[in-house]
Amino acid sequence: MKKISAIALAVLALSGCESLSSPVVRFDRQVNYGDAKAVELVTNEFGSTDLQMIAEKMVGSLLESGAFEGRPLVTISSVKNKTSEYIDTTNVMNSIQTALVKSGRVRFTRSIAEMQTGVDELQRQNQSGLYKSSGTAKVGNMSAAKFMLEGELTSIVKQNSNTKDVFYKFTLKMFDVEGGTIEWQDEKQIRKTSKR
Amino acid sequence: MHRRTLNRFLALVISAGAIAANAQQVPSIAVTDLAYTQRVAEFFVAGRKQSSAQVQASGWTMTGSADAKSTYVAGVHSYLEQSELGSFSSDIRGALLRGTSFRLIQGKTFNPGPPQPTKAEQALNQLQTGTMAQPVVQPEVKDIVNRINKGEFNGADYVLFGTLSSLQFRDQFSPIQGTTSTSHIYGLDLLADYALIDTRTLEIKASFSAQGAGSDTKLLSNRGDVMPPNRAKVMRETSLSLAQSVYEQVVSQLALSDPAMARGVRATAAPTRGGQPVTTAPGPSTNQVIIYK
Repeated sequence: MKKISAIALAVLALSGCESLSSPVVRFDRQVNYGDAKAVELVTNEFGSTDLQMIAEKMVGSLLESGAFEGRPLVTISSVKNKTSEYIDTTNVMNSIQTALVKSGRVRFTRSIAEMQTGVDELQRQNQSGLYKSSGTAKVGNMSAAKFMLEGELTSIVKQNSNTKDVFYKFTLKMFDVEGGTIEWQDEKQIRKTSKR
Repeated sequence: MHRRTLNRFLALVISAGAIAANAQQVPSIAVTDLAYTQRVAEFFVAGRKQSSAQVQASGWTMTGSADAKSTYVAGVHSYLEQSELGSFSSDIRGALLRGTSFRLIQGKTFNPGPPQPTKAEQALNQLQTGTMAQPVVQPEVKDIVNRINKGEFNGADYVLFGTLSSLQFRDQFSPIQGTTSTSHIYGLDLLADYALIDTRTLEIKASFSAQGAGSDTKLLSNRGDVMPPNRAKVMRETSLSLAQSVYEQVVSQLALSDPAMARGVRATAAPTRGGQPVTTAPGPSTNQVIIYK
């Protein structure tokens, strides 16, 4: 009897595996893949949905503004996090940058945070003596950005015994580097309220 | 048979004559090296010393005499050194050859005159002979009228005369933001004044200042690299950028001052930078000059 049940279990397991395209390692804890764009309401702290909403609003506004005539070069400055939470603001800018690059309407240069690897590579190509001079990327030929994106994220938190209200405001500005003028600016406001 | 040969010979002579006549019509230009004067100061000492001593002793008498003369003159003598800087003219000639149909003539090198005795020699001579040395007037490198009249540019209809206004090397270190590296920029900035002068009438056809700049950048990491700058590259870049500036301004001003001469500017030719064509800003002109990018 025990033998029969063991064989049945093995057959069941095998049939289960056949229905999947790749093997699955599963532990006791329940883990599932979900929609990356699904609305996340776990807490009222800054979350993935907020990031996506901000990026979507900013990208749409930028592309509609007509500021990107002639595929200008843009660089990203810092995004100041003025909230009380720890938020990796680079993530927000990366999402905006990805969408803008994919639109094909704008080109990006290395930001300050991305310079080290670029400089190291230039130094390796030009000054190590290892490379043919004809094919090396020359020092002094980097393209400078015409515009610079600067942003800041602020929050106002209010709470009482049973309600917590968080108001986020993300502001993004695009400066003309040479003229110092603001060529475009928009903001996204998000309100999140939780009750106990 | 003889008549055919004679006809061919005549045709050759006529065409050669036409070419020679055409060559004579094309204006010829001599491009000078950059004239400069710099004040040189030197310390000099002229000395004259004479000393003699005599002592005679005999029995109970002893006589002695001493004679000493000494004259010294010391001071600082400063004068203007007249010279030419010859490293930045070839690219201007090249740009004119590429961009115009003018003939280029090699002028004579500026002759500053015979070497003069130093101030110390003059002072010593004055001490010895008592006659003061007569100051000798030497030719001035910036006196272009005198140089034209002396025949330094024989055969040239025009002289593109350049004088050096400023020449400065730059050595700059600046940290690169967001990295642990530093850039070492070694650069040269040159400013010169130019005048295109008619050698017969001394009329100025073009007059302008032109700037040339070149630089070499080395990246220094925090690993402690030692990278000397490439001076040759810096000087070549400076020379090329100066030539481009000079060419553009000569062409734009000729169009206004002498439209007939401006016809010698080739419509399709352009100066190049590092072998690559460069763009020029469109200037006011009666004859349109197209510079291809």
